[in-house]
Amino acid sequence: MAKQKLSAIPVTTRRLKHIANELKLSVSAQQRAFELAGLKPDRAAWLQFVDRLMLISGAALTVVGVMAFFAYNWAELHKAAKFILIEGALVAAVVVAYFRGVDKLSGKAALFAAAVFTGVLLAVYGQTYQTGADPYGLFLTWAILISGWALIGRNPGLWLLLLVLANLSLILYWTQLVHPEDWSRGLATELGPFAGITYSLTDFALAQWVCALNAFALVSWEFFQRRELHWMRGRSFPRIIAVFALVPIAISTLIFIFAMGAEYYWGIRYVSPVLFAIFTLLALYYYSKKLLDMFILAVSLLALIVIVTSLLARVIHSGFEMFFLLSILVIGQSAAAAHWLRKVRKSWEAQA
Amino acid sequence: MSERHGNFQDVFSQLAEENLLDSDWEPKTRTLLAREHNEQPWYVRIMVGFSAWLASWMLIGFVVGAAIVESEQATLILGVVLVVGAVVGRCVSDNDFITQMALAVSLAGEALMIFGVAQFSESFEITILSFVALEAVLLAFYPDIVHRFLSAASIIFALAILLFEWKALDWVHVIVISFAMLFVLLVYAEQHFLARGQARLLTPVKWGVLFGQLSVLMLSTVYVLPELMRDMQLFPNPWISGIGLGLLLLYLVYELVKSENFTLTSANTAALYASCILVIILSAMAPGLIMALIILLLGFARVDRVLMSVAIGFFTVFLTAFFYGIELNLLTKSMLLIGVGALLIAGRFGLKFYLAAQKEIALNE
Repeated sequence: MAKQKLSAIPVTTRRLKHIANELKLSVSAQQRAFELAGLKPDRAAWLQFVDRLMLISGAALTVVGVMAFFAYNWAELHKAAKFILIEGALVAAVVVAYFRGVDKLSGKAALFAAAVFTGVLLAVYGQTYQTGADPYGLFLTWAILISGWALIGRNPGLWLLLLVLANLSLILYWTQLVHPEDWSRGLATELGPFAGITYSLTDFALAQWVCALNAFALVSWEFFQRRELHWMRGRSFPRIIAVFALVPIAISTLIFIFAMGAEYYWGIRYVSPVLFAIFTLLALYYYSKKLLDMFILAVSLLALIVIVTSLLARVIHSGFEMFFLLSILVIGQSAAAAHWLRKVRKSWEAQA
Repeated sequence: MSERHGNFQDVFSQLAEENLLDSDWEPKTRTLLAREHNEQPWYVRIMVGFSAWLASWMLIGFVVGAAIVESEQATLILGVVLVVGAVVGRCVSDNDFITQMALAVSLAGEALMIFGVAQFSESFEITILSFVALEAVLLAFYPDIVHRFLSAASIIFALAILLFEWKALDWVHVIVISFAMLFVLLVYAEQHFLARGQARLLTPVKWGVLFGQLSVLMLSTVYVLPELMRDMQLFPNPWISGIGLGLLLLYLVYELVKSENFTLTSANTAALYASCILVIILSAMAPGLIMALIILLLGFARVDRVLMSVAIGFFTVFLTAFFYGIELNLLTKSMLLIGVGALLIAGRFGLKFYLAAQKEIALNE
């Protein structure tokens, strides 16, 4: 950056604040600099922002409100009225998406709402007719029904919804059909659905499958993203999937480390640390050499620090001195990680 | 609006021409940009902070387990020594290893100090208030971004814990509203801090205050069985925070309209404030929605993408937690959410029609 021409360096909010602080620029100079750099929203920008804010937050609140309404399962409301309401909302959302087009924000919001209403419709159907189907079936059917919209929608939000549904289907299938009898999971579920789902990831095989599912989604996303599809350019979606893939396998590996030798954990437990090692090493290689993503690199390194430290804590048995050794080790690892991340960023800058 | 616009050459030469910048700005700017480039993004700092936190627990484990200190005085003294050592170490070096080491040692030292105070005083209040005082002092003297963030957030947590101990959770709204006001004030005062070269103090405090305030606000979605809470409510009457934050939102809208020089007719002004008041009334039971709106507006006005991302993230998390909370029944929640949502969508259409009408008038003229 030091060698770059100043005319080639764009002014960003972060950079301008840094320079203003170091040069102790007066308030009036800062305000003028923001103005000259175009970092002060004008009337048109404010109008566009307010327009988007009202549309997106309005749609989000309405969709969640509709979900809450049907989740209440109002006994006084006739079943026909329930179906008319939800199907009416679904059809209206699809019609709006069709006429506005999926490339416009309003069309995207409408298609997303339609995808959510599909799930609500399935839930209302289950409530009304007491089909007796397992809940995983609801999420799986929902995912299958909206997959066509995800394909044509050009919207990362729809893909994220589809992936969440696929994860839920897998987790619920596993906990309801493959390993249904686990009283401790039942106890965790009492604390809330999030606690129940997180606890279910302590099952080695399930954690491995969840990791594989999300890793597959991540690889597919990165593969298509390289084909210059403009709607796939944002990095939020792949970052979320990377966390979805890493967290279960890291939990599983931690359990493997601390429960080594426990009979309960015999079986395919060795796959977890192997999968963890493969995933983190590939992520560290790919996101440092092929495509720079500091967020995924930082998350992978943090997971690696936790696992390496836990492994050493488990292996070393030498009293309380071990704690001192481990603390130095953690500090050393994180310092090295921060140093390496800085080096990676600089090497990318040098290539640019 | 894209965040990237003009370049440094154009912007700064214009500033120099207008005598707002010294003539030797070019070499200085070049050096500073290179230095700015060395600063780590926020998620790397979180990684560093988490590692230091982990290391500090191990250090505490070592000190306690190895019985290095056996009396409360010794615990207190060792804590002070560790904290002072960490502050000095951090002041003299910017090296990665020293920075992490100092952070971990300081956190361990602070824990020992507070443990010592707790043993010494045998009073929960004195312990918590000492912690608040210690963090306030370190906020000023420990020149580390991660530590300052942790100090600012932990002061807010400590105050909330104190209210819980005093069984005075009705006052939780004071924390929520006053720290939201402090956050808005810090955002507004940012340029004054930068003009004095105090970004390393302001930035972490601003984020720490926001993190602490949002965490306390999340309590409004948590329901704890009355038997476990000795008949206390964790966040009683959330509408009080809702109204307080609503007033702050109204003030913010007023300031934005004034500072951005929007020319609004009296009818437009009335429509704007009436819509805001309606949204506030409808979402008063879900104060997190109003806070998300405040952060989003500030983020957009300051072209701060991180702030806007925090607002969107918090909006999502709060909405999810609000959906699952059982303080209100699902029917009431659905009415509230659909009401606010429909109001916003209707407002959007109203704005569209108004702008189209304005355009037509302008064309006719």
